[in-house]
Amino acid sequence: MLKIGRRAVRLPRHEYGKDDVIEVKTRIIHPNHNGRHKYEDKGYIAQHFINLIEVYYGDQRIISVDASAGLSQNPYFTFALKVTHSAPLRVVWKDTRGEEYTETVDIRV
Amino acid sequence: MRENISRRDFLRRSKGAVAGVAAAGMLGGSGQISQGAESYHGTPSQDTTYHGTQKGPPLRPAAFVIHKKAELAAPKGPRAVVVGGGWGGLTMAKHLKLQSPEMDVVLVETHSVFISCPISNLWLAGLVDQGFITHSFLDAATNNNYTFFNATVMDADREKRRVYTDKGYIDYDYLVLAPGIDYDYDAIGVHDIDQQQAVMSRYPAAFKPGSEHLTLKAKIDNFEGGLFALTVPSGNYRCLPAPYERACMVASVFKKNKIKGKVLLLDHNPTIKIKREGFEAAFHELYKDYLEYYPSVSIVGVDVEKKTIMGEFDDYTFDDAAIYPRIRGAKLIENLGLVNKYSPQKEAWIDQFHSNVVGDERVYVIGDSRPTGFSKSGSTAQEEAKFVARVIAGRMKGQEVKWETPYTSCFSMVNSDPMEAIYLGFKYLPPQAGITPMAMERVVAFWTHTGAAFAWRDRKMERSEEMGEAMLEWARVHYNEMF
Amino acid sequence: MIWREAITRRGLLGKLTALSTLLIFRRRAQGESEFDITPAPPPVYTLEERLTPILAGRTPKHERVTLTLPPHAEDGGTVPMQLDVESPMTDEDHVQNLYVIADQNPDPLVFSASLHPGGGQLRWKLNIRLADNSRVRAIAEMNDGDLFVQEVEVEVLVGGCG
Repeated sequence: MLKIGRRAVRLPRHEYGKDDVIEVKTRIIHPNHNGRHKYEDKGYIAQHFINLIEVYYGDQRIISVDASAGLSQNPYFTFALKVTHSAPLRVVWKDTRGEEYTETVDIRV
Repeated sequence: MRENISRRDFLRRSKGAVAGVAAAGMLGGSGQISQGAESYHGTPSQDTTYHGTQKGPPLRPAAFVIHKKAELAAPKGPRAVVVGGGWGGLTMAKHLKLQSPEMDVVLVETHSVFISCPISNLWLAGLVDQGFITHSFLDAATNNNYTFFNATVMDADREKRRVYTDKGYIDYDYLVLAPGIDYDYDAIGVHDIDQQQAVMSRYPAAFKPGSEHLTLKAKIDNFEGGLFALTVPSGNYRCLPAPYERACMVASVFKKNKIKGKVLLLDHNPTIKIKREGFEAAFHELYKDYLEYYPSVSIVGVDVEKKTIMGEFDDYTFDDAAIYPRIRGAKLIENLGLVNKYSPQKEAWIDQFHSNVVGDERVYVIGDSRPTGFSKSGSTAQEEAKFVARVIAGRMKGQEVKWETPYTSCFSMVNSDPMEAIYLGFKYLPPQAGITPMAMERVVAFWTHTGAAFAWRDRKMERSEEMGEAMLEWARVHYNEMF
Repeated sequence: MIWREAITRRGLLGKLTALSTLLIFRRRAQGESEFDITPAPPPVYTLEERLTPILAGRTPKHERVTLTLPPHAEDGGTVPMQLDVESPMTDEDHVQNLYVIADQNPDPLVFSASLHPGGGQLRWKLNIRLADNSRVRAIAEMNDGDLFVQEVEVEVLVGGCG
């Protein structure tokens, strides 16, 4: 079974070089409870969602997404990236309980 | 007699339909924001209203024509032709006859034996024998006073009210299409026809009963170990709980026969789409060593030679598989020019309150080719067929039957020893017309139970033998409604 | 920035409310899923509450932003969205902030993002939730303060028997 926090960052299967724009795909397994689902007659399933996604290319933070519960369950985020140099690409997810998840892939040119 | 529609006539009609679409597009709202940006308006909405109020699909002449009358006795009353002998069509044929005994009903079906898709998962696991799910169309027709015509529908001419089969044409007063589904392999990245054929024949979905099921049964019975992949497609696929039930049933066979095998269940959805608590419990408590569940797997290709399913993020190599691709409305609906062009699954363009093709009260579409969000299930198709039979009977007398929401009852077997099932039953809310503004109630319904809106529902997510027995009884009652 | 303050303040208030109501109990469901139960859902926001701080009196132009969504989303829980903004993404000319708003959601602001020019071309894909038929807006705020927008209407085909 997939546990909360299982994550993936995928670079393209094809070759790429300097100045190419590549598609980076990311996904994390997370229930992303929006707090509006009733749980029987006992109340509501409390909010518990990814509220921050950050992308670092080397030391530079290039993207920071402040999310509401409007992202789908198992948040999926794909972005285009211009490859300028070899460096680690680090994706950080944080959720409303303060949990932090990180995944790093290496970009090599 | 309007023997032929000229090409010009046809073009004119088509243009009319297009103009209708354009005119409706002017009606979009403006969504003005008052504060902070006096001049910021939303752009007018495109005309994409799903259940539109346009004229309906244009009439078109039949392309596949056979100039020979089908060998059927002359009708003794108004003739209804029901196309498709599945759960919807069989119930429709019986209930048309019950509602209007004077009606002459012909059921046209391409297969000569009925195999039920509901309960077939139980048969795959050896819980019922093949006789339980196999029935005779002849018995259905004899017992319910209609005619079974074993033929394949090729085309229809709605102006002439004539339906063409490979064994001649039949003139109708009412035509009910219940052709079911077809598979959409393109949606899982299998585009090449050779590859589609290879996936279809070697790893059949087994959601259209017949050879697919026989092949799958042999695969399960002969499995020697390793990973057995099953997939759950996107969209409103046929029988939402079935892939999860099947995963339980296949795992139960491995468990019983002590096979070193695991079911690999690859789900397009972010979570178990229906009866989650019940299935989750079964996965963990009964099949922990026999089943692995992966959510949010969107399939982008299948490599038949390497026995690999390619997901967007990961590849999954299997030893054997039954690959359930995305589904769509039966190709017959498209061939007859009846597709709602906005339907993401190529379903029919019908008035969802009466099920007739928009603009044509002589032709109806029921069952899994309907565009409404109702579950594509046998139980729903039966309820719908009973209602539409009343609509047709009423219209014959010039009366309009008030719309009723269908209800559905749905069992899933999760354990085979002992036979334990879970249950979900509900009644739908009226369909969303797409032109009405959102009501808060809908939001609450949606956000409360992701994905659907119900008037009431009844859930039994704790599996029990009582539900297991009820499931078999459910099957008998529903088969009795058809045979 | 105004919008950020507004959003953060509201967010903080929401969190305080949630804490003060106290978690009744935590339930470990069968399987992996674990969740808390609270007596009340989080607050609902109006479109104006979310939009006004972003616009901050400015009028966005209908240029440069391309928002692609299916006109008929078959599952409101997972609606695939693609977002393109024409921008060289250089230090001199780049998208600084990016907002996606779904008018009819209980909280219309789906996300607000800040960007650094290092990323190159701007093309994002995300799956979002839509509570109902809704207009979805993507607003790009450039480094010089210009706003660009595109709106798309999405009809959610409420369906299935989930």
